[in-house]
Amino acid sequence: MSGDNSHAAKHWLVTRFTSLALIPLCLWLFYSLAGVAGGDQPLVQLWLKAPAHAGVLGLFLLVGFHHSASGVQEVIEDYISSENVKKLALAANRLLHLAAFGAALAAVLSLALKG
Amino acid sequence: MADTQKRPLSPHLQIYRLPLPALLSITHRMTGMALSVGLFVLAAWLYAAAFSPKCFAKFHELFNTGLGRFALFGWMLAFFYHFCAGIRHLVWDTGTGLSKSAYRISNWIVIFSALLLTAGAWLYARGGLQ
Repeated sequence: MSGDNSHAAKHWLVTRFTSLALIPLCLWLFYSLAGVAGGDQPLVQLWLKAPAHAGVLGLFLLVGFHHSASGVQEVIEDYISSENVKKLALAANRLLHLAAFGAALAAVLSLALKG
Repeated sequence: MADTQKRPLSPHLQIYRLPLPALLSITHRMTGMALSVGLFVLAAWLYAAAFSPKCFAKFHELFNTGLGRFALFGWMLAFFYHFCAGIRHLVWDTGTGLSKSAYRISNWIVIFSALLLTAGAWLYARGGLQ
């Protein structure tokens, strides 16, 4: 770590804000998934056809993936000592989270806009 | 010589019984990692729902096996634990509940509310899944 701590403080704050936002978002997601997860594909599509559902799910994905990436980042920083491996792991973490978020968001948009 | 063998060892990670707060702390991290994996599974499930009916059917099949149910239950338990312990972290961040006595009580509040929420949610979700 260099002497510049501003990004560490920002990381700390962002983790708190995403945590707070995730309290209602996760409860909503659980409530929704309990009704939908056992169903078939048309049921999932019907669920996401409502713009409010698709919108809140998109918001959950944004905040959830951010929170997840931030948590995994913290674990990598704490347990990997080799600087090179750490750099690689941090980059891979970001890339994987970004890719999965993109794929999930594309799926939600596609389901919301289909037919 | 015989005496030296009876000397207590310093706490070593493999044989050291973690105090409850330490155990809850590492559990928060481990459930967080498990939930990250779960988030990727959720993303894959959504992706399958939108773009691959075949893959979606496979998901459906998998979630209905014993192992699939077990995994879902595990994620649910991990979620509610992380949820409760996370809220306690947010309370701590405001500077409250940091005394030893408050700590002792909140340890058990976190454990019991996580178990209770999981049990309630599981019963609720079972109704939805059938």
